[in-house]
Amino acid sequence: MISKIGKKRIILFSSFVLLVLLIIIGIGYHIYSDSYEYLNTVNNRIRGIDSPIKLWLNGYLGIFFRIKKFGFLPSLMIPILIVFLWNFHRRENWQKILFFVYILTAMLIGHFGYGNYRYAFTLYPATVVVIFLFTEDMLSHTKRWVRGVIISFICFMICFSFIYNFKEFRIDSIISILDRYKSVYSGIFTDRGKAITKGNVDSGRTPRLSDNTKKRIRMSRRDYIKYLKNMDIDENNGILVCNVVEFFYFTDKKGFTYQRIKSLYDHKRDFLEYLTKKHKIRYVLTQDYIHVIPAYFDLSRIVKDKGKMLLKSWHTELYELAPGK
Amino acid sequence: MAEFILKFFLTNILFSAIIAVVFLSLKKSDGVSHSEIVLYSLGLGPPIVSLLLYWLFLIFPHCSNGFYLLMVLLFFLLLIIITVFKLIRWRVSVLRSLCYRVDAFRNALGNIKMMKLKLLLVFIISIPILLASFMYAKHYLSKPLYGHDILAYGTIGKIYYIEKSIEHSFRGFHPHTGFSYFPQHAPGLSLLSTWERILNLHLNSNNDYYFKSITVYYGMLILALAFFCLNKRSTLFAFLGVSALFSAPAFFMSFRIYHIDLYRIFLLTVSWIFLAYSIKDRYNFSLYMFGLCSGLSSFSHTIGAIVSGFGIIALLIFLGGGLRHRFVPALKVILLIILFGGIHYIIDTFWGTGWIFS
Repeated sequence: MISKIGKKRIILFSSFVLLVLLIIIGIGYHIYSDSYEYLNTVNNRIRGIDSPIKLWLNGYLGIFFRIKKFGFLPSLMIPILIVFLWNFHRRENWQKILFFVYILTAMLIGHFGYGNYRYAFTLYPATVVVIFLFTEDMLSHTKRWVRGVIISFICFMICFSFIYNFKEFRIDSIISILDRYKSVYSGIFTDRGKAITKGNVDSGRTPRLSDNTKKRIRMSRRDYIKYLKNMDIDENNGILVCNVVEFFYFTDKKGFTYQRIKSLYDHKRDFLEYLTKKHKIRYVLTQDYIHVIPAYFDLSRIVKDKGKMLLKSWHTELYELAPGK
Repeated sequence: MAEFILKFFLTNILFSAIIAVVFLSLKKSDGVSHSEIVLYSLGLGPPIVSLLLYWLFLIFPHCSNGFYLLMVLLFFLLLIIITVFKLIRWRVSVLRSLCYRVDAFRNALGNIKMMKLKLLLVFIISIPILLASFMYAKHYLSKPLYGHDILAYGTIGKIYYIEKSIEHSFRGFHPHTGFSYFPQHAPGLSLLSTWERILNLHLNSNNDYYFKSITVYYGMLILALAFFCLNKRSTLFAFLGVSALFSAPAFFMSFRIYHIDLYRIFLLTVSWIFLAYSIKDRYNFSLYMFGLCSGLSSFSHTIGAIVSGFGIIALLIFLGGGLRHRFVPALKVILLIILFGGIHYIIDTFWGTGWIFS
């Protein structure tokens, strides 16, 4: 399809690609490198406090420019789309239909799913395949040395991404190791996440625990699941579960989800009393982020003031409510 | 591990192979190649099993586990019986295709330099894949399932297993376990967990390895799909493309965490391929396949349902001819989408939680 594009357009396309790459490598990477995004946590985009440039590049146009997640390659889709539009009337119908659906999907994801990279990920495989098909098409009409240079460049970008991946993998591992010994909220505050990897930050937002207590209550995931399965839960000893789905997946016990309890709460009496008297809640199983997200502060206050921590595993905490405490 | 292999073979290989045979026997034109259909079908076995369970729970709720297992097996047996009459014709074309491939391979062997390069590339690519597979089998499958979303999908599957009905999914609350959720997406993936639990009961097994293996299986299929598409033009670019795909942190990470993403992306991508074929070749087979795959894609995730709508709009715009020539195929596709999973959103919108409109 590129064979019909003249020499000028190839030069225009190559210049555009170079420009995009320069912008991304020169400015984009600098922007992204000063923040660390952690997997599956509340991030700045979702909370609506990102800077406009990050909101656009990482969010709305994240399909093409979210380097931290998709590498540099998807950004090449922009010039390809422009070249496609340039010759739109010459394209075959099946190419037009794919272009149409791709653009609509990109707009849908950009508008509704910009906060979460996983939605942008929907288009990633198709984007990479189109980029390579287009590049191959373009290179089939160029001289051998040009082909060699561009393929080497692609190889370099792939190697760079692999190295970068390895680095991320290591950061991830370091965080998980640190998390076993420190009370941290990696990623809720993105800068904090990065600082944690340097080993000099402790969030200080969880209830302060002595080292001995930490050793006693920290559990591996297997032990934690075993503990949940063996817990003594019945009608008089209920459990409130706040976003910890593994309780329902791994055990056959009945739990009360925080969202449901909250929706039923009539505000006529104290929340703790409502939990312990009305629903006979004795245990609270929760994610540790309740201590930093305002929507959960009421629960955080209850477990801090009236709860005794029984175990902690990864980001999950189990408390026993002791109203007399 | 033996039970896992059996579950995997039955659902992902055997059922997919039966589906491939059916599609190959239905295909009358030369638009889509045999190998393409086999590749796409490899990913269609599991979603069709979950769709069958969905319809069974909808029409025959609260029956025994054995009933559902038997019905699924009977369905695939029936498919074989129906297809067997067309098998002779299919065998001839497959033989023709095989002969062509043998010739192509012989020609490729003639070019020793090229073969060496390809072998080297295969070797380079295989090392990380083999290492990753080894690490995956050793470290990941045996670990307890983790990740909020996948645990929610698994729990919904568990509830389907307990209830043997889909009613509760339209209420968003299960009184027996106390689990409450907002079911935005159709239960395509969740029902695979249900299917595994049904099989577990008959295999005397108690693990969720099959449910956990879905992510990596579909990840490998996406890589194969990308390789297949690019290999039509250049083997070198196919290797580069697959490496590029795998090198992105998001894709790399998707292999390490359990999620629905790769499952839904595969189905969506295949539906797009058939959308392109249905316009390019104008064969009814591609159009029906587009409807089927869009339905399954809708059945896996809300994005699939919305994008299926885009596909229908695109069909209406780009299909040439008069109104009748545009609307009749679009209507056929809509019916197929509803039959193959879209029905869930209709029920949920009008008689359930209200889906995304609530």
